[in-house]
Amino acid sequence: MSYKKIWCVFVLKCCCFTTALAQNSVADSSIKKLELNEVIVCEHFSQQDEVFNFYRNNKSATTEEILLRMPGISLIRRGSYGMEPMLRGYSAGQINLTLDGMKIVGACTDKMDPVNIYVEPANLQSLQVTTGASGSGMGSTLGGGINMALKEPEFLCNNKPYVGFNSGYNTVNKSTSNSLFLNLNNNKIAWRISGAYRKADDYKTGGRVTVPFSGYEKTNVATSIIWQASEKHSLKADYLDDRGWNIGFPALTMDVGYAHASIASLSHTFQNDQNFFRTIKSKVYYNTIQHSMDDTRRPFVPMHMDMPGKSKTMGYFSEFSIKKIQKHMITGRVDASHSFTHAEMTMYPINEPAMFMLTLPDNYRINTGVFLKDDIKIDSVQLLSVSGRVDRMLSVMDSEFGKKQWSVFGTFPLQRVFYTSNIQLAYSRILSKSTSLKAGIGYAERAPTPNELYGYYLFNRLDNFDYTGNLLLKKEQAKQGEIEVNMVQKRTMVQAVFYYHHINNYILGELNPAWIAMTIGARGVKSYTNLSFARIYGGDFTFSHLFNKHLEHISTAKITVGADADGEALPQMPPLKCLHAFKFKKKGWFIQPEAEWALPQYRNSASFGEMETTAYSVFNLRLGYKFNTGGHAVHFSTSIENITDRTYREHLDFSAVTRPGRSFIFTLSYSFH
Amino acid sequence: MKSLTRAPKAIWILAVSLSLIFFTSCKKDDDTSTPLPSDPYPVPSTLKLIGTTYAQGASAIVKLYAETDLQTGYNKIYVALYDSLTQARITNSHIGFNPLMHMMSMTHACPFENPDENAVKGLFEGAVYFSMPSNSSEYWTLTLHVHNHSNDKEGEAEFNITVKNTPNRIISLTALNDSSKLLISLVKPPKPEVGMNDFEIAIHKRANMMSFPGVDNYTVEIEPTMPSMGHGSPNNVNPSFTSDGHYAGKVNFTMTGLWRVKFLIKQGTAVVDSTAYFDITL
Repeated sequence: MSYKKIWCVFVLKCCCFTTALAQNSVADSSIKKLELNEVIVCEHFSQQDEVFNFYRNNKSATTEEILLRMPGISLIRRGSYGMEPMLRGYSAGQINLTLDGMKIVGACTDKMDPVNIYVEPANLQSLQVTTGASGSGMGSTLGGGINMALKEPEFLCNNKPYVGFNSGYNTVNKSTSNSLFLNLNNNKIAWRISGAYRKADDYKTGGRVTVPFSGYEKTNVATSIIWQASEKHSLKADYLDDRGWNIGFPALTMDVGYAHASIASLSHTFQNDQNFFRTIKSKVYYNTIQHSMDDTRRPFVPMHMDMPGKSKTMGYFSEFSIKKIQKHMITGRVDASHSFTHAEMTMYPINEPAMFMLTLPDNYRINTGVFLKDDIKIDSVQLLSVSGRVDRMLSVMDSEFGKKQWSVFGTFPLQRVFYTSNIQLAYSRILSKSTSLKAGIGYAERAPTPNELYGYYLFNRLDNFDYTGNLLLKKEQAKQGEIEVNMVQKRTMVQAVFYYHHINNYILGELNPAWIAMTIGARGVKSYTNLSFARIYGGDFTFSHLFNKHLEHISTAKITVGADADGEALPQMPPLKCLHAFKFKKKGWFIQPEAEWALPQYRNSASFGEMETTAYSVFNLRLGYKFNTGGHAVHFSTSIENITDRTYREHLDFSAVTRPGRSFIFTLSYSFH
Repeated sequence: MKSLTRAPKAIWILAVSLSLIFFTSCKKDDDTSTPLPSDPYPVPSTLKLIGTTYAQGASAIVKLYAETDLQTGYNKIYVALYDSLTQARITNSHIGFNPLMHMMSMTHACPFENPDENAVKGLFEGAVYFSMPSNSSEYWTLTLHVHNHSNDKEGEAEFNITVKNTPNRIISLTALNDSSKLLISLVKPPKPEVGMNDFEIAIHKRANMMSFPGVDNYTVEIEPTMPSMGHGSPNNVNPSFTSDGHYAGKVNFTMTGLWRVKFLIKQGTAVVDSTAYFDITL
């Protein structure tokens, strides 16, 4: 499918959610997608897409705010920016967070820079969420993956320039967000550039109490050019530059002084439906992240310190799909990447020499993998999907100083090789005109992350322990089962997913009582270790209903439960959380009331020092108006979030820092083509 | 070593020396700093010449070498002896150290370890533990009593030496209850670094101003900490007695900066001293 065609479909369908809902068959809803070209929001219909579209209407939303509302996704919050996605209780190294299929490694040892912060909604095309072993398309994973597809230049039917801007203001933190884009194309070449700038002061929590060190400032520029060389071949070059300054992390002891990501890639797409390889999409990429934690703005620091870190990743992948052979639809991917990470810390005591250590000694990992998937359409009501992936991961500590540091723990293998495999078997069956069922089993493995292997006295604010790596860690292995029920009536859609994962060698910190914490105020030292096993289970539920052509409703609920071998709760497991929204649309106007609530979390990890989190409910109201005239599109919206000015925190929020209080958000967007 | 008889020991040393010379001469041939081309034992250029003097009565020229400038604490001292007539190297001699600090009103000695009477690779290796630096009005002398076994003559050579203060506090002098004093000196590592370090100390007791015997029957516990942070390091190995007042273990430094290694010295269960410490900056 050419880019032009996709765009036209997109324009057509995005205007009418109703059509999209009606058009999509039950079978489609159970197919998780991996081909990037086909993901355009309305092409297939799935739970994620529906939610994504519903909430993306809020034009000033950050990528995080969209993620937050997706089924299965929770966010670990350390500050008002830089929230880390968690997928059904899995986070960090257990999930793949990719950008257009590219592997990007955060440069912050405290996970202050999950990859999603380097993307702006202005250049985000879609989010593709895959769960469990089925997410291994992008790399070996236990929890699945979130791939953020970047917007591509569009081949518009009329070859006219397409420009737009979006501007927003939020009263709760006096934040402004502005973004611009420009799209130019002729029949052969399309070019897009977008820029975004955000600046926020400290926000006020419920009761108008200011939360210090919660402001941030950032810019993001992304540009992309496509050359449609022929019917079969196209080339694309992408570059994204994201810079942030003084990003506050009120829940941590330090802020981010600056963060800079440069992300570049070159892609080639081949497409020929007659060929054995119907499509081959290849990409080479390179990205660097520089990140610096800083406490110079904080009062009362016992000792000033700097903690810079950097990462460099280069990689390659090819995704292909093979001509349909009888009932088989085979797709696959080969990939390789080399990623380097380094983090250090320097502390400056008064009248004494500076103190230096490598908190993450220079290390690199080379990952090569192959992924294959076969969708077998057994008959008109049955679909069997088999996918598998094998990986080789070489992890090497590459620093003499780092090796010396590590000698205090004894003698360990500083170079590790991990072979991992991921297998997923999913069977879907249409039971009746309105009901379909999908059952999946999977086996997943993942190698420990550099932090888990090489981390050196990394302070974790959540439990107040210093963490050291463990070079003897074994890979995590999970057996997974999942059942999904879909019911689609004429106006109603219900989807329920239940999952159960049994994870062997679950990696978690274990107290090392003989060792003394390095960080001032830390309670001790924990080392990563493999628990004999842990269990994670839960469910995601979506309900949507179209009352009439003006009024629709969507509700989502998600819950995850985690327990170790002794039945003790795993840390950082979200309680039941629900979102309900109605949207009333008429003649360009829309009004959208929302309710968000969560149950209290009493299942806490005692060894992690987790506290109970109380239940909360917040209400939002959005109002908007848009009109199109002669190529001009204007969209105005205003939102009131947390109408009751509730003081609350979610269970995954670090420390006792509460969320923003009542906020008024105004956005205006305009586009012309 | 001491149980070996002289003849086989000499042969053994000779063999080792020859192999060492062969080995080092293979690596590089600019290792010589001595003027005599016929000298069978060229002094390694890594050693620093402290002084040259004549041991009157022993018919010997005495050259004194050290690894660095002499400094407070443990110093390895290398002695090269030459026959004053033939310039030939003397490899068998008894050498007795006598370090003396000349203060305004008094003199005192410091601990030392005399070399073995058989030179290794032509050098007699001993050690002196200078307990304080020299300055404009107070100075150290190091007198060597040389008994030249080749001609059975004896004599003394005196060196006026300068002892610098080390940047690190690697000696610790503490007064004990019985009016004696305990001198703890760092022997190893010569250059402490981040990571695991072999940690060897020597403990001497000041019996009087001139006598500092090594103490062999203590148990030693160490605790490295960073004073400004209050934290320590894992997996340290307490030094245990080896020989002649020396105790060897392991010390771990997890990062650069100022480290304080605190000592707890016990005799049996009785605490001898708990105040001694080293300050080491990495």
